[in-house]
Amino acid sequence: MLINIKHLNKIYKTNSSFFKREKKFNVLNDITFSLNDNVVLSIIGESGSGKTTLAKIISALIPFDSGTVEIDNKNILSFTRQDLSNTVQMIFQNPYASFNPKLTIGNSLSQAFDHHIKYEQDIIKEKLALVGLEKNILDKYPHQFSGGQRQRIAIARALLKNPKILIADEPFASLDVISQSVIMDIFMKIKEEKKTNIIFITHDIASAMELSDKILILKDGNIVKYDINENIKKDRTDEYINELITATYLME
Amino acid sequence: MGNNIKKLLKNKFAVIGLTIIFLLIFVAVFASVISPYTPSEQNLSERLLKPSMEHFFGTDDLGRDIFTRMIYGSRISLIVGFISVLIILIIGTFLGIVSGFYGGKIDYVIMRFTDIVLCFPIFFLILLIIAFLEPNIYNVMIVIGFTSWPGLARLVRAEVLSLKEREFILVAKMMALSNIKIFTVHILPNIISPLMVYSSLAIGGAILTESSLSFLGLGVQPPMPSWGQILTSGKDYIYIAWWLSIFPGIAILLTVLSFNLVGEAIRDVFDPKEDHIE
Repeated sequence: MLINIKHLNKIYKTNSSFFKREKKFNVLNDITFSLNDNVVLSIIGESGSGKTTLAKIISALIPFDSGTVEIDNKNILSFTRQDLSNTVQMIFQNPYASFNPKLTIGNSLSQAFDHHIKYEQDIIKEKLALVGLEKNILDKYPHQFSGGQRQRIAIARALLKNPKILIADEPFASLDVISQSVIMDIFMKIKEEKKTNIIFITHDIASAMELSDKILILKDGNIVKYDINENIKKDRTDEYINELITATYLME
Repeated sequence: MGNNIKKLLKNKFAVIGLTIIFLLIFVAVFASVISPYTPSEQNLSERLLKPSMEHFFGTDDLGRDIFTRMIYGSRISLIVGFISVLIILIIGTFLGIVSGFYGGKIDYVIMRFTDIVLCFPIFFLILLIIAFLEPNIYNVMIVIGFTSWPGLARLVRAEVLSLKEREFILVAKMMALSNIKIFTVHILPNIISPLMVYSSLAIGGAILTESSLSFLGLGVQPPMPSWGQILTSGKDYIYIAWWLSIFPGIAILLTVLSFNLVGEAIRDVFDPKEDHIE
């Protein structure tokens, strides 16, 4: 079992003060699901449905309140930071903020390695080739690249660790259509290689259908539906799913 | 970076400020070569002479050449300015980064401590501490440094708070970088510009504080010449020998003004978001 989540709850609290009572928001409510190896999962939901929170919990960037999260049959709390970095990597929505503006791309990429290992250069070359970029970008600074290129470099950087799971949090959100399709192709390639499992987070049901095998639909922190693509396509009874699908077609 | 320096040099006021600062550094370094007399050489037959070709800024009540004393005084001002700001930078940056990055209880404790230090009227606190310690240049630097950091700590904390939510810090965490590495590689280089602005303004402040302390007799002790101290010795003769107070006063004014001008210019250069984190 790649991912096994049971009764996961996450609550955000507002700061309490003398005049203000503490408010609690249940961002994730009793989330339970499991995922097998080599199944691409899409997590879909409107803004505020808890997609990103769930992704950040799986990548151990934020703590959770109750429940268990197992990755590769091991409790996520028992992972060291080092182990975790070899298991889960994440790509973020905003490619402009995911690079330190003061570091060259080469320096940003070499963070993936503890020490300067000999085969480092080869791995970097291999991963850059996967995203369709050359080694000559290493001396440049992030501001010299477009959003699409940066997102591709970010994917290459995440893959340098050869993680078991790659979480892509709305990787298309700030990109133009052409860059979107280029990156979609890259994800398809990663999917075919079968070395890394992709978890794809989006509000766009069409691209989720294209890339993933299974879809998990979230609303207000609850799982609305978790099933394989075909079943979700067929099921038009649920209003929320219908809404998501029509919203996508309206945009096109 | 080179681009920023170009932009800085386009600012007239920055160029004026930088010129004065470099001139000052030059004068301080080569004080013994430039000055026509020695700073504590007394000549009672030449008391309170007006500015002339022999004594550019006149002489004081003990017949010492003001021009020479001011050249040596520039050393004091610059050393006090740079060293106390260095202390401020070390303490303020460290506490600010730790407070902002770790948050929670650590943040709370550090910030309340900062508030406490901020509560004291700094100048009177310095007076108090100097009164306990021996008044000399080293204590002045240390006391200014150890009492003036709260503003910087808050500034750095605010910068770190916004930085640590940025994706590249999250990526660094996911790459299992140590916190020390995240501080030095990712946070410090990205807060350099506010640090530079703050330091150049703080140097001016420190020089002013040193002058005030010396004016009150609690700073640099005679016969060591400092601008504030020359100013004090001139106050008894202000009606008959204006040059004793005017020249050190102008020197303090120009120096503090230059550092402020440069500080403001650096802020302007960094402010347009174009070169910031996009």
